[in-house]
Amino acid sequence: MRQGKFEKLVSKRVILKPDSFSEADKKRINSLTSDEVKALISIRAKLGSGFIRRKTAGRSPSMAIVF
Amino acid sequence: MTNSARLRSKIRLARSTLDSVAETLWNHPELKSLYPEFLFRNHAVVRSSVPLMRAALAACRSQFPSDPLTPGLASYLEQHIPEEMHHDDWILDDLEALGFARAEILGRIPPVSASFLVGAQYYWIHHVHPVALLGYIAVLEGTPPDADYFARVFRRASITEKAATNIFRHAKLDPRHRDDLDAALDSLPLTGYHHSLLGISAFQTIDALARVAEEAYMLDGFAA
Repeated sequence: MRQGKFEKLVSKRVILKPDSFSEADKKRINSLTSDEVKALISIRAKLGSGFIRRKTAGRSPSMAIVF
Repeated sequence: MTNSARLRSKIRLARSTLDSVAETLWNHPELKSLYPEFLFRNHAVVRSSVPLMRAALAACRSQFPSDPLTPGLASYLEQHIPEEMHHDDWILDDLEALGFARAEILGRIPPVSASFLVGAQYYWIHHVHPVALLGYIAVLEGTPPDADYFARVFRRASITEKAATNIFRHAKLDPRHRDDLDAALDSLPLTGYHHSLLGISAFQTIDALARVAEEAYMLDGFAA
């Protein structure tokens, strides 16, 4: 059976924690184009909805590297 | 789904790496000593904003004069170029407030990671389609600095606000710039090809921008 895009990104370790993705996120990932999926694999991206919050409460900070 | 919502949803999926670096940097116990290096890196990126947009505008006119995207894309760039002019000087001012001479800053070779970040956009602009630059801008202007958050960060790190004018000015400007970009995206007759290119450009930007920022605390900078 043909692998979906979400599963492909899991197998290529772009997605490390598949269980942390909502169904809506999975749907969005499966709607990416093949070229976008290849780009994510090529740049060794790490997709994840959550990251470890270290200290602060409140909103995530902007990177603040501006345009 | 609108064009801008489609692009923003892709960015949300991929930006956790960038968020993680931001969290580490802005909560770093040595932030005060790292901050000049962060500004140097920010300058390396921001100095290219206007030249990149000019390159995209020139490509619209020379390579894509009858492309359906050109009128809307060129109009956006014509409006946005003057809005972004001299923002690199704001960062130099901030570094001067910290005691660094302009000549010293401009005499340093910029980070190689910044060349990856910006150089990729020249490739997409000149060899593929200038609309790719909007994926880059969407990442950089997509999450405006929160003034209250940064006031707390700088107070905690004992960094004077005179050395942070760039961030506080962008906290005011970028929400409107983000909305202008979204309006421009939504006005363009994008095809699947363009959406794909925008997504790739945004993903690449997230990855490269995270490296530029991460190196502020991973590598020696001004302190070396």
